[in-house]
Amino acid sequence: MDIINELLIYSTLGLYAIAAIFYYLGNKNKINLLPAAFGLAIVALGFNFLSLFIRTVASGRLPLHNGYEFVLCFTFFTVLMYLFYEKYAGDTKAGTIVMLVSTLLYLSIPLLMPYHINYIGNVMPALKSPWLAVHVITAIVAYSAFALAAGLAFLQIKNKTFTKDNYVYRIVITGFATLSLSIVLGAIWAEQAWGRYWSWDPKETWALVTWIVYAIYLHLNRYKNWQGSRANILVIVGFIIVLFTFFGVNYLLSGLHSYA
Amino acid sequence: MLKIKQVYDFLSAMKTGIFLLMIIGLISAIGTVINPNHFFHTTYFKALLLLLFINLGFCTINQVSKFIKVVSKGKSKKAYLSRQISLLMLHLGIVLILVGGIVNAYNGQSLNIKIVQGDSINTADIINTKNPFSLTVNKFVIDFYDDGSPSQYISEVSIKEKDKLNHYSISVNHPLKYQGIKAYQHSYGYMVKVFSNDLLDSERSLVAEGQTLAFNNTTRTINLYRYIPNYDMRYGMNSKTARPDNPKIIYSLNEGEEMLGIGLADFDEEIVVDDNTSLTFTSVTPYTVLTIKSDPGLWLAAIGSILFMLGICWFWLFVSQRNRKSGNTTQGGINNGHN
Ligand code: HEM
Repeated sequence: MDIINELLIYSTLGLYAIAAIFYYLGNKNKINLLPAAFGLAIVALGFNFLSLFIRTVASGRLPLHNGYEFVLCFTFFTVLMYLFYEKYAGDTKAGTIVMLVSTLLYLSIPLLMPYHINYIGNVMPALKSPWLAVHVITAIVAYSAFALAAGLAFLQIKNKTFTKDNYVYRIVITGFATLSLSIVLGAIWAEQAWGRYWSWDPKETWALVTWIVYAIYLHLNRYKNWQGSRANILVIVGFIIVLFTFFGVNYLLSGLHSYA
Repeated sequence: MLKIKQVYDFLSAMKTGIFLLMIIGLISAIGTVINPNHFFHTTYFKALLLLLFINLGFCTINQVSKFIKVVSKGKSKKAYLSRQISLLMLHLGIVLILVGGIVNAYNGQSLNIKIVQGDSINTADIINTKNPFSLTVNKFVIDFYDDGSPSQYISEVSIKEKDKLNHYSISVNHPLKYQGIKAYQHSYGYMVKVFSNDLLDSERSLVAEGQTLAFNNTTRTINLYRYIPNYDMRYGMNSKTARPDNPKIIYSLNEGEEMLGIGLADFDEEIVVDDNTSLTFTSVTPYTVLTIKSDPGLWLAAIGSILFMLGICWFWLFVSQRNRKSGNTTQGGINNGHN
């Protein structure tokens, strides 16, 4: 079983990487690699899902409890959202960057948490709450939406003829709404577990900072001179802060989110 | 009069709000790095939050009055109503959450209290409350997984109400709600029972970790360093798990300032302190630490949260639907003719 888990993770990583290359070549050259890139992304997504599924069966709970499981979900939703976008908007340009981001996210597993692949710890008492599941799911969906929005924003800055402002706005609103839900649901959980719905711990505070960046983006959007490039820079800055909230806070700042 | 209006306009302006959000975001980020435990409780930071509250409050009042004006003309489109009501709910929700926070900051109370198994407390001794009651901890229990890691911490308590005794259990994620207060399972610890032929303070037989014991017939002392429920050499002075599979007590024997030695004792093992003095650790009694809290602002924050969540979901629906129907490329359908 251990071998299967590892094999699955590394093949998914490889598939995302190859999909990134196919999207890159397909978007650049005349060779029509784009259908193959889409197919590869679907297979990788299937493998990604399989890892999540095996984890769920093996642990008997939803895979929403540690960094490794977050990365699996984060990548899964990012790619899923991108594939929907590709079909809905009929645009493959963002494929390269989304697959690249997915590859890098997956790469964090062997780099930062290799032993988690086959280790399923017990759930500590504070984490045993139905609020936790909805809190984490909404946070991950939000982060995935911000990843996709940042990808599109990046392309718009690089290539002025690529205009998907309306999609960026709608994807950011989706991320913003789910992040808002996530923060409130997390506060409800904290109130039940610790008796305080807000305690300014680093993770909480950085989630708030992320939320503020996108709130500023949404408000500035009504000013003509804050649309286009400047708005796109905000969307990218927002995603960098998302990544810091996701990885940086865990590894660089110490949190209070533990029991006793 | 003009001056007041100018100040009000400034305080309620969206640009001021954006600026405040920016400052709060920046300062929060910095605050997590420099001393987060104190930073967010400084007056400066609270003043910023208060300013945001005032700004958002005034801004919401303006939005409401504008909304009423437009609606009373009776020509507003359904899309306009949808958008404005959802945004009002969303902003008003945040205002209420902030009000709840302010009420809690001034009138909320929260204290951690250590209660040894078998002891009682009266809430009136801990916080100001209109309906005090007394609470007894009958038992503190830890549930374990197979590998010995804790799966739940439970304080079994009883509350005397008139002539009846009601039983409740308080565990992590399951606080007790009673007479306007809430009690949370915060943490726990152990007291050790000792027996000695020569204890200086003969009253004291329950000893906390870290305490020093003195005797009548010797100047030597014993310091009870730590109770270890599951001792394993490889874990040093830390317990392997919290389950009492191999309980030991670590103590030190001292003469004045000087430490004569460190020992690892079993229960009921006799420890010779000096010629005529000996001591045994006989058993252990757990204590629980409960957080006793009253937050009169919580219901406001709760209503605010609900409004906020409903508002943001509604606004999201509005944005998605509007774009699907009209297929327009303007951002989020802001141009609705009423701005
Ligand atoms: C604190 C967090 C805040 C959040 C989460 C928030 C959220 C939002 C959202 C999502 C919108 C819709 C933007 C769009 O059309 O794309 C909006 C609009 C607006 N916000 Fe905020 N806001 C916040 C604070 C403020 C503050 C401090 C003000 C300042 C007065 C403000 C004033 C406004 C105004 C005037 C609108 C436009 C409403 C309209 O178009 O009729 N907001 N807000």
